[in-house]
Amino acid sequence: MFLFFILPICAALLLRIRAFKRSEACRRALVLAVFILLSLQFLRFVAASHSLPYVIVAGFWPHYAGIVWMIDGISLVFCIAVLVVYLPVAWVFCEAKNPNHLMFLHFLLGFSFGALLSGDFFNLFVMSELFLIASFAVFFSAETLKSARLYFWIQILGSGVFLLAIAFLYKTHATLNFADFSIRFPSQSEHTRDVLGSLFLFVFLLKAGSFPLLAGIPSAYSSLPTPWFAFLAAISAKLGIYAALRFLILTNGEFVHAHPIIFFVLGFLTALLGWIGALGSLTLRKRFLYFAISHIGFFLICTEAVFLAAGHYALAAILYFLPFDCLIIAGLVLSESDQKESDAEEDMTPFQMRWPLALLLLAGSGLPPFAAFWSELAALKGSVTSKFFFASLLLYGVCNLYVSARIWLLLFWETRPRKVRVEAIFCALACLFAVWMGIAHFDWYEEIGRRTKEPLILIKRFHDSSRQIEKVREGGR
Amino acid sequence: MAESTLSNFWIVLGLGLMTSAGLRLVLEKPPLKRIFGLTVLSHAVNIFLLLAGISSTRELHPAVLSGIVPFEKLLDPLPQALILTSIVINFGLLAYLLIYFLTAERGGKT
Amino acid sequence: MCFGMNLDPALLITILLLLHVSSFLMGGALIFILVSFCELLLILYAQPYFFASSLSFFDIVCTPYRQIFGAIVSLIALSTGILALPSSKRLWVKGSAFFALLGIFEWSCLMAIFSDHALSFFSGWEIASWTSFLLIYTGFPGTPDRLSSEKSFSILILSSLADFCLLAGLILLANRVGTYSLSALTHTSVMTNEIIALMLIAAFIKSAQVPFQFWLPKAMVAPLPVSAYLHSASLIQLGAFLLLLFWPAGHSSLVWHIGITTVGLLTFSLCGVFSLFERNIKRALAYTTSSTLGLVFTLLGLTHERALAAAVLLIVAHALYKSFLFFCLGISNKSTDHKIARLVFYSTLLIVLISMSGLPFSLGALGKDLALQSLLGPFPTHAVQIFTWFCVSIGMVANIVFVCLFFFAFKRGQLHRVIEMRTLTSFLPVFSLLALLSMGLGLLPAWLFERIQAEIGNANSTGNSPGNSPEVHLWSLGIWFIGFALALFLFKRGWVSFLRKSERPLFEFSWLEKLHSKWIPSLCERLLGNTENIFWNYGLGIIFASLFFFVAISGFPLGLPLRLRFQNTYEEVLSLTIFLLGLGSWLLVFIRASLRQIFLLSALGLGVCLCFASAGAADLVLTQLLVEMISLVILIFSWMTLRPKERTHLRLGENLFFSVFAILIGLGIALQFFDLNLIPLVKLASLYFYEHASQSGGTNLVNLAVIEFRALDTLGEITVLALSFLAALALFERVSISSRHASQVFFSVSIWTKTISRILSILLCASALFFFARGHYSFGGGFVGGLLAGLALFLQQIVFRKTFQTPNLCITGICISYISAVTPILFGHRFFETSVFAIHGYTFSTSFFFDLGVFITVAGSGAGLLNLFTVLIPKRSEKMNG
Repeated sequence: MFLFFILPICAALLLRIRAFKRSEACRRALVLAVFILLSLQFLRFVAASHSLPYVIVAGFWPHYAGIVWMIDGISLVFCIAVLVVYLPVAWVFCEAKNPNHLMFLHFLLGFSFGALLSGDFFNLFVMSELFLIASFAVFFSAETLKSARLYFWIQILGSGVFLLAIAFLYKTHATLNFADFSIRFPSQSEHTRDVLGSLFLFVFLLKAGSFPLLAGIPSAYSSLPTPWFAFLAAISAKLGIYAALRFLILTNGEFVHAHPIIFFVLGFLTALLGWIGALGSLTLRKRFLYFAISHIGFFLICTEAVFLAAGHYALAAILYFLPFDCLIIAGLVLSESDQKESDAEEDMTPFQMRWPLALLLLAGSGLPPFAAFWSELAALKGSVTSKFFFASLLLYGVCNLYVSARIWLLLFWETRPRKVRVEAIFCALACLFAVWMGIAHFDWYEEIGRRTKEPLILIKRFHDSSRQIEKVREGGR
Repeated sequence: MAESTLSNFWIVLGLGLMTSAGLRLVLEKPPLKRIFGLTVLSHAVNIFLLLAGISSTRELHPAVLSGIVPFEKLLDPLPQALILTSIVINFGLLAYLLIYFLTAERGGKT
Repeated sequence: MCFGMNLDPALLITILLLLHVSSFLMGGALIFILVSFCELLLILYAQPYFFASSLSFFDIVCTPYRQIFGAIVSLIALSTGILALPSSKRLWVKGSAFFALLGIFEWSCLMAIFSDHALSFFSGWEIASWTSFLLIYTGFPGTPDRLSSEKSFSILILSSLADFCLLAGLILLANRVGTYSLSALTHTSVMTNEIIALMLIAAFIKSAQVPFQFWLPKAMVAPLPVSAYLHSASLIQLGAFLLLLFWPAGHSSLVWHIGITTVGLLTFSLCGVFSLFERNIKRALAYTTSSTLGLVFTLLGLTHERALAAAVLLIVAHALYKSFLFFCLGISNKSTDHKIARLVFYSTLLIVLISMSGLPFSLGALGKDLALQSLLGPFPTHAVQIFTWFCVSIGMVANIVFVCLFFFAFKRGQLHRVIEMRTLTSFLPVFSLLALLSMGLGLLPAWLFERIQAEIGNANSTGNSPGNSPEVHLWSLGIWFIGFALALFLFKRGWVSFLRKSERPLFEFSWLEKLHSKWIPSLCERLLGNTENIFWNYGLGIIFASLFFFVAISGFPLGLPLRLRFQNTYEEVLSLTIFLLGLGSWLLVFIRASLRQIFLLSALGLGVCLCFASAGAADLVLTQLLVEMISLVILIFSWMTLRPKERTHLRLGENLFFSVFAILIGLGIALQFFDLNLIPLVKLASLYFYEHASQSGGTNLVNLAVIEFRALDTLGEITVLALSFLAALALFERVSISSRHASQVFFSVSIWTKTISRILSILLCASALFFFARGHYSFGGGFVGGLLAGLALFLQQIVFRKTFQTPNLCITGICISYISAVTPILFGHRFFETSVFAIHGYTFSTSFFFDLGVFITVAGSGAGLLNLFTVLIPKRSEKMNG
């Protein structure tokens, strides 16, 4: 499992060798090799998903003293989401002149896996810092530097508060590990639980890009080169959502129970800002970015619904839609690229030239049988008991459809038809996979949701791994 | 002397002032001042981490003077490792930010 | 299943869909026609049965009413396909998005009709909506136009409201019943009024009933085949089909009965009247469609089974005559100069008009007859009876007037002025039309009545079934004569609206299009502009406000008791240091000159060092000291370029506000921190470190924690350092400042400098190695050693102009660390596991290699970063030039 972290870093370091710097075929081969190896590993975990969560210990120390990594259903789905966006973006970068792009992409891949698989808070912090610094490196040119200033400061402030929160955590719990934190948390005083929850969730919401903490994101991301924009817009918020979800699951939704309004209001305002932005932006890239932001609002509302109403259905909704959301955003952004216009397809109608975009927007709009529909359905199914969530999710569905249809209209009439990139076609076709998963295998996600809502299994695995180590130690090596 | 578990007024005040000064400096306009603010904030956070490792004043009570416990064993090692990491990360960030602003300045001129 | 086949429905459905989708690529028109034909055959010969599938989503059930609906859908699809064939044969085999989408639409209607799972029913329903929306964009027959796409957008939004109502209703119902199987849901008895209301709204919107009737005339901007198929025969009927489906469960409810019949009657009469006043022939036909469906809905709102049969008959008749009427509109009577073609055309039109008006011996007449008989039933009050018969009369009169006017206008040859003409150049379509129609009228009734008999055969005795009363026949005849006379009168006077050729519709509702295309986008643009402005100018302030909010959420512990006295000297030193640091940092805020601020900052750093010392953390003291020194150097370097040129003070008001704000947040955080009173907890990690340190062969616990226990964090940390260096280098290369060497020296090097530098670098190297070597046992370690070595390298670079390949050094260090982490796996141990050896009496741990990697990385990055700074400061010559 440490392969997930080591392999991309090795690939990144390999890319500094001159052979890779010069030959495009070598780079493509490397990208394919990394993708295939990693996806085989993930498929192995998917096949063995009934025995998740796995816990791996680094070194030979028990979990509370050393570093542990764990993979359970949630981390698995998030990791797969990152991997599927990696391939098209890396493919685009293979033909770029500057070899640094591909190197930093591999670093980002490795670090996001590290963050998604870590088993204690400080490791999560270090990996997020790594991700942050690597993503800072992406802002290369002069105008991106100027427009990214606010984003840099906000993220740095966020990591400062993260460290502060870890200080708070260590002071009150005397441990940094997820499992022990989860055990000790309920016995703290209410005030402590509140303070810890609010600090950590401030940081995680900042990383996830929720309103109003997304202040720097629109101007920063929209000035990036297209493939970086695709990758960061799709991935960086998901790490924050993962962290928030993990924290809430470990604490059994304490913060959400104590302050139910906050998450919901923030999620709804994020979605609202996303819709306003998607309808009112002047450039296509900003529209896509705000469209992505509105989906983040959906994830936040569902996160709250996991603990207040729906339980495993809402969690299944989030997990199912996550990889496809990343694909949709990446595909939409990659299709709007500065490729030279080819007049070879003269006798294709405008619609036939835009079918990948139509597929991507259909997948994101909540229309059956595509991706967003099954997740909205699951969220609705779960929130039947709470009229409030039911109505708000319905409202979300209507507005989402409205905005997607509007974007399609604008795409069709306000852009000139041109040949769509191969990578965008890959994303569109990969979204078709959602149909099969949604119809035939949605219960896999429900099963993960059910199991993850009980963190006891995870804790037990952590302690089992430590007990094993202690036994060996006692028995002598 | 009876052990008191109440927090020390001066420490609270000092840390509060330091954090607030750091936050205040970050709100300034010139980038250099913001970097000062960042540095002050990182110092404040390091001290928070340090104090998190001291759970009661008993641990400050020096067995050092009497020589029973060696100097290194006073404080919790784990927060020290965290602080070390934090110092290095902040240093890396500081250097990168400074170069970022410098190249932005220079890039604007060339 | 049928034809003796035993196929899994999931497979069948998927194959049909794939065939339709393949029309995108090739053989568009032909594949559509062939597949619709196959579907028609399947439906006609299927046995009424329930077909379970491997996935319950694809369960199919075949009841007689479903067969009727399905047959209509595929029959009209087939006709549409033939009539919409492009003129050139080459286009028949080319991939066509139009035919593919039409095929998917048909497939989805059939799935909605035949499925037994509520979600596949809903999926079919909604796929039909969005395919009909996308059909506008395929550009059939010519280039698509923007206005019609805006109109179809409004229609999509309205129908998506319907769809969400339906979804909500289905989910709520399925939750109450406990299953998603439609057979269970449609025969349940737990339908609440909310669920019924939701379904009614969905049905009304879908079938264009009052008050939602306005979307159907708008939809007439679609090309003719689309109007003929979708808006007369398939999409429109889905609403009626929904009500038919849920009739067993809902017909006993008052909301159902009153809601549907009222709306149906109002629609029948009002839309009938509107059709006479509408100025465009296609829109007028749309109103007649609404009106007929109004009558259908009225029948579906009744409680006896014969009304259902009447409704179904009416739907079938309506589908046939309306779609064929649309087809006829598309045929120019100028181009059909062949005699036989003209004969065929006229006779078709006659049959259609007879059916539409309800003259005897036509399907339409049968349907209207049955309908009127069903409406004879017992009424609760006299007023209701009068209202019903009033609406019905008006609706029927309007219908007949319309048909007669149409006939007169056609006979006079006036219609071709106002109809859009599309020339049919080949015989094939015309003959197929005739063949299909005769097949429809000849074979269909027998098959139709057989099915209807099967449905209501045993249910004759339920409800109040009205008999065959002669008054109804007399009344119909009377209505017919009145209608005919009125039509003649209007025609003679020249008051035929749809001959006026005006583009202005009767009810415009153009504010809908304006809303979507102008008002909402401009509002959003303004809002977005304002928001982005606020974010850009006050972004950090907003973040702070949120931080304050989150910190304050749990309440400030204002009554926190704090101690003023100290308990021992170490605590005294620590607390006074921290207090002075706090004061010093506020002094930093008030000092304006940057250079002084830099020095004060370094002093603060040294103060922090003192804190660490008074707490007993020796490694931290060393690291902080070195880092502080290096930071001082680079801050001064950057000050040379970055010093704020003009006085950039904040205004006093802002100043005060920010300061107060910052103090509140800072004190708040500190108070929260110290209020967290401990339950004395066992420090698992630290205890473990104390106990197992000796096994790792070292005595410096901090170093052990850094290098062994939490080595992955350290790996990350040195990667941060290396990355920030590499990123800075990449930034630097990109902005392409010319020379990279430290030869851009900014002071001249005298011999004294060289001598002292030589001595200093030797001392630095020696101390670096010393601290590195003893890190495992006493304070020191890879970081401290690396920083010292980095300083030594930098000194060499700057004074002696030696170049070291610092990026490669950095990466070598990282590689060593990673390799030392991975190597234990090769020996069968775990990742990062360390072993302790004894060599010549000294204990040696393999974590030494990891520490070596750390050392090299820190040295390389430190030296490299410092070097970058020296290159970036402006040279003296640059400063003079500007």
